[in-house]
Amino acid sequence: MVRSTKGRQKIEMKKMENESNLQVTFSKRRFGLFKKASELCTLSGAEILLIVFSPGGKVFSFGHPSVQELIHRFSNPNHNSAIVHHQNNNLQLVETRPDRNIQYLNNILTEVLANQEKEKQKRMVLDLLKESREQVGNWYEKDVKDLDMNETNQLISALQDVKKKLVREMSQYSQVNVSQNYFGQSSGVIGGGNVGIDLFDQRRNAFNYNPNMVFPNHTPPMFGYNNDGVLVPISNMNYMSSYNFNQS
Amino acid sequence: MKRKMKLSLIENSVSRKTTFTKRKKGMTKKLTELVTLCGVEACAVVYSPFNSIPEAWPSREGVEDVVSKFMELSVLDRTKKMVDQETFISQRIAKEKEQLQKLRDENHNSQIRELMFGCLKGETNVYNLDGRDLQDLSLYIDKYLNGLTRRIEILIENGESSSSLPLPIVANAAAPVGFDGPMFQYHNQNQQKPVQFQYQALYDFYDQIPKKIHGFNMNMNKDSNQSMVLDLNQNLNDGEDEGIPCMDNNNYHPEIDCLATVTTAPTDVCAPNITNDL
Repeated sequence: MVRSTKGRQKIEMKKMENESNLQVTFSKRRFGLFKKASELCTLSGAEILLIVFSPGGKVFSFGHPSVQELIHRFSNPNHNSAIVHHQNNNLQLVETRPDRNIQYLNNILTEVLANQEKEKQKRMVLDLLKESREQVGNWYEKDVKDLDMNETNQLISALQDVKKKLVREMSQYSQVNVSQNYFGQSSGVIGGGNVGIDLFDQRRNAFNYNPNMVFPNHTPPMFGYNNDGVLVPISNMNYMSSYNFNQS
Repeated sequence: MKRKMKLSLIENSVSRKTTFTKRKKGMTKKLTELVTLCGVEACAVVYSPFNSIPEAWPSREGVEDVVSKFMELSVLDRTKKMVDQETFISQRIAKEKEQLQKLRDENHNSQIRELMFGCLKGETNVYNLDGRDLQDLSLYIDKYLNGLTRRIEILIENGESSSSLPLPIVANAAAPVGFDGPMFQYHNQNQQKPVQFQYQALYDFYDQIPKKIHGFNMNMNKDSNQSMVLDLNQNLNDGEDEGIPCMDNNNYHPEIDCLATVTTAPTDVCAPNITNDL
């Protein structure tokens, strides 16, 4: 069968010739085999022994409840009473009480696999976003090594502008948290809560500040104060003059 | 439609037996494929509640041979790669968690990249981001800028230059970078002088902050925006000296600084009122 892409392909069911491929295949398939055995034990209460010798001569084994126990049981089949007794006992155990720790581990495994599924879905969405963006084909979204001198310089300055915004925003982010926390506390002190909300609205409402207004028993938050239009006239005038001077 | 099978004992006994039969067949098929492909020896023994006689693959004699070979090994060699179901599931959980973390990292990286291009085009506003995204985006941009800088070096070595100007990234390239923040709702009613107004706002803002906070902020700005800091210093020096706080080189923790600020707030807040009343 001829395929257009090198995705998952069916392989010929015979001894592999390539040595490194053989090792990788053994490792993957051994894991898959043990996985199937483990699931079969969980789902049906069976007890399974697997022994596999690797191409390099190492031995891998899986056993539930344990390799040694199953080997011992397999090697001593003639004790009929023991077999019957164990069979009944085994049946009883399976019916009434699965291993609690194994069930716990299986639950964790199920959860991890579900999370993986979510991340894979998310990756598909992100891939679609990237694909639609690349179809537009803006020059600045090319790979870095495809840019020329002017493009690189312009992209650098644009990114530095974004970076400046970011740094300023990060700085504000810290203060905003503190300011909100502070205002929350003062609101609690007032007690009713309504007064706090009103004050908060007044703080946010610029140019409505009355310099003669008195706030009894309340200290307004520090970091929003100047944005209400409170200006120091002398400093302000001096600054205005100096700024105009710099402009000319 | 294949249904997601819950990893626990199947309650219905008929369904359990059916599943056992099918899956046992599948497992032995996988064992056969492994032996054929890799040319190795292997065996399986299955005890089940549904059959009093254990099932052996490839045959009873085959299992005996493999078990004998197994038992001839030293105890160390036998137990080195031996797992029971509990151990195997634990190993599998660790492997899958590693895979999950890898997926998460990849997705986060893709998200940050989309975010960066969004900011470049003006589609995304940095003010809407939370603290962690801000930091991650900042780091990503730093790495990207490093890549661009290396690109410049390569181009200089090759002596390349191009006269064609690239298209602008943002449609409104002349938009000023304002001093905006979620908690500081500043309304600019003087449309004719936006830049001047913004600098005025910035100056007033710093004038109201006590010395310690000011030092903290200046340190932050100094690390990443040297030219802007120089401009501020120049403007500040031209103003009245008495009201300008000194720059403190120490880096204060914001929480502690703000607690210290609270104790001095009444004095600072009263001053403007007195000035305005005169």
